[in-house]
Amino acid sequence: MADNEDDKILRDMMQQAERLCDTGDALLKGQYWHLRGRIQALLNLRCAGDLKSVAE
Amino acid sequence: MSPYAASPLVGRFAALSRGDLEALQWSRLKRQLARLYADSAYYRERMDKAGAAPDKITSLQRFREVSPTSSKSDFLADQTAHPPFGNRLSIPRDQVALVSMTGGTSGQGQEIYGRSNHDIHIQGYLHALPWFLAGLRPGDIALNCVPAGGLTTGGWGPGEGLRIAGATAFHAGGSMSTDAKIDLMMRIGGMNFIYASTNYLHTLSEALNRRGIDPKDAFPNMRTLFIAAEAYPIEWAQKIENLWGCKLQEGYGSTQCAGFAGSTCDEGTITVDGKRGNLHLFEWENMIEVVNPETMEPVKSGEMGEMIVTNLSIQGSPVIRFRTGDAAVYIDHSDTNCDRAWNALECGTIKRLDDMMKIRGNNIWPSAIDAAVFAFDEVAEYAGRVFTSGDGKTEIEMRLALSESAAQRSEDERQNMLAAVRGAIKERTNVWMDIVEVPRGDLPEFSYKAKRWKDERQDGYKL
Repeated sequence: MADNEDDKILRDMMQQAERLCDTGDALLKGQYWHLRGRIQALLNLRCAGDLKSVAE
Repeated sequence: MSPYAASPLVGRFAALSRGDLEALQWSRLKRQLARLYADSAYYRERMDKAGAAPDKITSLQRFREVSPTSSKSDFLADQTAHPPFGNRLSIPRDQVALVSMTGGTSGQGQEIYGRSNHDIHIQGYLHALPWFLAGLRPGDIALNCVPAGGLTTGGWGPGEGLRIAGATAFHAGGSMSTDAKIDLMMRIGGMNFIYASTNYLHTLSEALNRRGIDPKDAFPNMRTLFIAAEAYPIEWAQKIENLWGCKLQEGYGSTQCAGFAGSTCDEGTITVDGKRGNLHLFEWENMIEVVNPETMEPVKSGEMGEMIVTNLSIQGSPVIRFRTGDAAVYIDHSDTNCDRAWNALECGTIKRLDDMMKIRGNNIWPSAIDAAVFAFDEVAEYAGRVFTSGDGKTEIEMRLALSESAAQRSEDERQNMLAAVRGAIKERTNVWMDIVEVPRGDLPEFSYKAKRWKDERQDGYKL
């Protein structure tokens, strides 16, 4: 998989993770928050290596 | 394979020109300032008071010129007024997923940092990144000698860092004796990486020597020894590399940096021409200014100054122009031996501007010890010494004189008194100290500012 596909995949995952965070299951909610935070951080740290993404 | 080839992401960081790197910093800084102006009453008030609202900050240079600094006392006042996290938290309280606190031995109090789930990952990343640059790869076996868990960034960051680096980690710090760690290492055999404080790596090396174990033979797959936290003589670094047969690498980090702010490159802690190496800064995550602490003007390359930190991506309790109280020699990127455009700090010489001592992982200010000792009316004076023992351990010796009347008491009473003082010090500093009673005449009189402590640890770094 090309490195430049990672961001698109992560952005898609972020959208899905946001949807999961709407769950009514109190046990799962914290876990989904955790998942969303991880994806958000990966997007953030990856965009630092790509000036184009930062500008978007 | 070099880290730049092994990771396209790291390769891109390495290829950034200075102009591109600063454009990246500027992009992230604008985002961070705008967010904090909206979400943090602490930063909004300070920005407005200084005329440094985001719309007034038009460049990195302007930011450095007009944005106000914060210090530990500012954060403590904010926390007292708005407990527990202060108004600088800047994320909803229910999004705090990890709480970090700084050591509380300054006598001033402990800073509290509330980190989001995003930040937990970034904290791990800011440990994994320097270790990746130092040679750690997925699947490697790593020994973490720093005590894990608790309320410090240094307790949680390494575990997270090794996990997201893909390493198989043994978190042996604080839970096993040095001999037990060596036994574990011998059982594992194919160990690739060790993370330890400078002093603990010395302790471990001494213990191996004492047991007649040659690290080069016992651990032939060892690729990296990674140290942090304490300064060291360059000769010691050379001896450690010879003893272990692998590179010694170093990082500089802190709670305020949410992990490591920079680390050594392939060169390690010693350059090819035998000089001190460089800690290359991850400037796209943290902006580090090195300034003259009195004039606040940037120091020149090769000069020592105070480090001022700004987090560019941390969400919870970020720091903006925080005065660390840590002093380092600034090295401009053009003065390093590397092609990368990252500015750097000199290896092995970072120290405190104040008199704080780092002892067994605890930040200890003499003022905190004074407060514990002189709470006892029976104490007249004391002098302390931190040193490295013959078997490589950090030892603390306190010579203490009792007042004239207390010195007349029975042997049992005096011993009980010393035990009580020892307990009071432990309570305040988390460190046990050996106390020896001496006559008052054996200790100096302090006519101005008392200097009761000597740190002689580096004198004992002999292998």
